Amino acid sequence: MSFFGGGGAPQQPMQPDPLFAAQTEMEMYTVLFNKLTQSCFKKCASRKHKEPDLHLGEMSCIDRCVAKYMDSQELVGKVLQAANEKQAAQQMQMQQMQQAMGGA
Amino acid sequence: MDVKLDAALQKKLEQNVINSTMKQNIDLMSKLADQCFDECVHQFPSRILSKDETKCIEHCADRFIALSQRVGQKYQEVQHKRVLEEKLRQMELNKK
Repeated sequence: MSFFGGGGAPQQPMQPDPLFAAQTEMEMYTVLFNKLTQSCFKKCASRKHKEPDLHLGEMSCIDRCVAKYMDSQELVGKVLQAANEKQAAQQMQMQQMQQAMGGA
Repeated sequence: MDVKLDAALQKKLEQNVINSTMKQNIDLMSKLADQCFDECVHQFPSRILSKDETKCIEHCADRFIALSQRVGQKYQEVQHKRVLEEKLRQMELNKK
């Protein structure tokens, strides 16, 4: 979301503060782990639960599921980043246009 | 926006915005990745995403972004209209 009319001076971009960033990162890994577990359980474990142990097929499915999940997260991250960069560039252009109009 | 905030408060506010933007981005990514994975990947004969799966995930993410932009636009329009109507009503009331 953007803040129109904020008139933010183009200083160097601020960074999130390190403590907050570290905390958020930890949280992210917890969430990732939970989602990964849930998703791969849903996709790989047979619903019948006949035996207490995982069988071989399920185990290899889980290993592949984890790999694929991580890859898809990376992929989505790339797409989102590209979209963010595009938006930022558009905003820059808008700002420059506004400045040019104001300065005229 | 001609309210003057003192510099320290201003800085704190900006920091908060940056912090929450970062968190929002991360949350969005993990939710979206989870959803797109769930919808696009169903079989596990290999540990590498197939071409179709990759395409599906990319499209899923792109389409979500397009959708959220569209929703944002429409929302802004509706909200803007509401504010205008409210202002008009107030003006009418003041006239009477």
